[in-house]
Amino acid sequence: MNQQPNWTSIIQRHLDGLTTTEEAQALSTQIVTNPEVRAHYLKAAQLHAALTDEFLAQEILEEPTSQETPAQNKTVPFHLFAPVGIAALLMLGLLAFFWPKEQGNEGQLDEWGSSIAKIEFLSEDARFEGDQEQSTGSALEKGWLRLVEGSARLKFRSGAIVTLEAPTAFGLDSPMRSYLEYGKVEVYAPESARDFAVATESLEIVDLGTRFEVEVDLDSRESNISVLEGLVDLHLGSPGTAREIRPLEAGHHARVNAFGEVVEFTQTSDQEDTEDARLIGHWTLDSIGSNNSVSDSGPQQLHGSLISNERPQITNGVIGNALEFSTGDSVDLSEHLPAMSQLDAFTFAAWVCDPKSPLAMIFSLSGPSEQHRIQLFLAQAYVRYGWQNGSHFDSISGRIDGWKPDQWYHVAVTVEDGVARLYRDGNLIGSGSAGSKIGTPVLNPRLVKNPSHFFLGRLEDGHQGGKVTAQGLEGKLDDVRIYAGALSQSTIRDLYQNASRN
Amino acid sequence: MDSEDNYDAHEQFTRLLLGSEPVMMRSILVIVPHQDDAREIMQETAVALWRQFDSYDPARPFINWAMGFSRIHTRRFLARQQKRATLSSEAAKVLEQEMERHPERTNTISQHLAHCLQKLPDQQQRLIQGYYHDDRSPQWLSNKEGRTVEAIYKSIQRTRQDLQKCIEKQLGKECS
Repeated sequence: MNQQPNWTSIIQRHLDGLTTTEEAQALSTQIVTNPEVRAHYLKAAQLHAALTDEFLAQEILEEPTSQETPAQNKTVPFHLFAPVGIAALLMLGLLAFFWPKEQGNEGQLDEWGSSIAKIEFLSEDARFEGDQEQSTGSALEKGWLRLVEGSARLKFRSGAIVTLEAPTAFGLDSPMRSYLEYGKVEVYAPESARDFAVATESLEIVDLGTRFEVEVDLDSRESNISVLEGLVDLHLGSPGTAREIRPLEAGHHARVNAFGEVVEFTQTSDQEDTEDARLIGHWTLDSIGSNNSVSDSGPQQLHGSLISNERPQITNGVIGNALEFSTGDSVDLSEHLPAMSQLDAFTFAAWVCDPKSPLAMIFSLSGPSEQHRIQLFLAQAYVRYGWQNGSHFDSISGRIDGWKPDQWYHVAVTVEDGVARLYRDGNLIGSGSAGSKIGTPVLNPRLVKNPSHFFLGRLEDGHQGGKVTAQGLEGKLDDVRIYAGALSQSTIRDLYQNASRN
Repeated sequence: MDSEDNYDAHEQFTRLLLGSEPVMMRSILVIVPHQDDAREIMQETAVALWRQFDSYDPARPFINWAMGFSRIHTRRFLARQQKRATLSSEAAKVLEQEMERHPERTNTISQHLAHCLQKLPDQQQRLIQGYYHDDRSPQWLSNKEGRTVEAIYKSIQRTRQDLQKCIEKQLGKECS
């Protein structure tokens, strides 16, 4: 006879960090499926949270003591370090609330305990300043390290690996965040440490799955960033000042001054063109067929059908003719959804002219409601890739300097490995793995639930957030292409620069 | 944004965060009971909130905006800790939904907790004080109390259950 587990006991033990992985999994299943266990867990956990928080609140009001943790070497606490710039002040402000405990909870069965990183000496002469007696394997808590000679490597709990070269002053804030006051570090962030950040006085470098180097000059506080693999986002300016986000890809280098301004932006090596993207559809928009059909000259012949109140105008385009969209015009490609909705990596590229504000919808793929969708749309000062997977809309933007009348612009979006990249006229203008509104992960076509609509120049069920907006396109569109896979920047630039030959 | 504007924004952000932090922290602790983990999530949430502060609409409650971030960072934490004995993302989601349905419960627990703590026998009070306030490990408490570690854990767990009963009794009085 199967004996029912004692969920009260398991819940109580889980609150103390004593459950095994299997027990935690079983408890999770019960919480999802069994309302009684869920209610029981919630009551117990809310009391535990209240007890923790009740005492946490008292603790915050008290000064931290200088008592040493016997089991661990400690770094120099942040508050002993001179604040440098607003970024550091912000960190200090936050840290005042999340001061590390003086004594770890030994009840937690975890090799890391409350430490953030572990150290490894890479050279025999590696030496830290003052009484920071570190050795290979030392566990580090929140605080500062000053490496005065040699080189050392920090392995963060998140999986990020940071190599320090003396002289360097480096702050550990959390398993996902660090601070470089001066000196040189190389960062490798695997998938588990995606979004790992290194802040300097004038910017924050946020990893998007990559390897990069940062060097901060002791005197000028200038930051030099070189991306060796993958992609990073540079959040320029001390937090709260500029907020401009610039992507930086492998083979590129940026020099940023102490005010968070990019003073040099160079390509250090040729970008590798590793793409194996293949053309899915190519709508030249040179003409409209007799049954309002819009031809696809690509290999799969995904012909669309024009929806229009009045027959739209054919006008001069970048390559041959183009289609001029008025309110209510769109090209319906919904019958070809299977070709698009199975893609987890794709490229959409098109030429646009005179896109009218407030929003110009270039393409969308959506479910029966607006709650599940992806879309590329243009605003006065942005190119945006947006998505919704539930109740909240999110997007990644690339800032632009507007749209000059009668000028053709090439716009493109690629999505691959959870990262979206936006281009205009061959330049990378925005990228990221999470939306700028609420930080939800980038959605690709395969992740759109129950797709039922696929349009050029229209979003079905035109809602954005709670507000109903006109989700169409007024403007000219030419040479629309969709690829399975992400094209590299050099290929997208080639589409822009050599339009007539492609 | 000039430095004065930035100072104002920073001050406004700090004020709003201070007001919302206890609610956010408690919500995180329900999903991730270990204090250090919850603090880590809270800190990552606070950094993300500051990064995105210029997209915050002051006409809307800050707490609602901020809770969206804390949920995302809690999920990311759970995803990173799959090998550890943490709850699943699905369980986190249903618990968050449940908490959203009864937002008043956090406050009512706090209101009655102080009263119920006072009613505990001295030994139980000492244990809860040592475990939660002084962050003493059960090992340390066992040496001090001259009991086994297992007995200390059991005692802490029983004390929490006693507190829960006491709070529910108080809530019952409120309704009658």
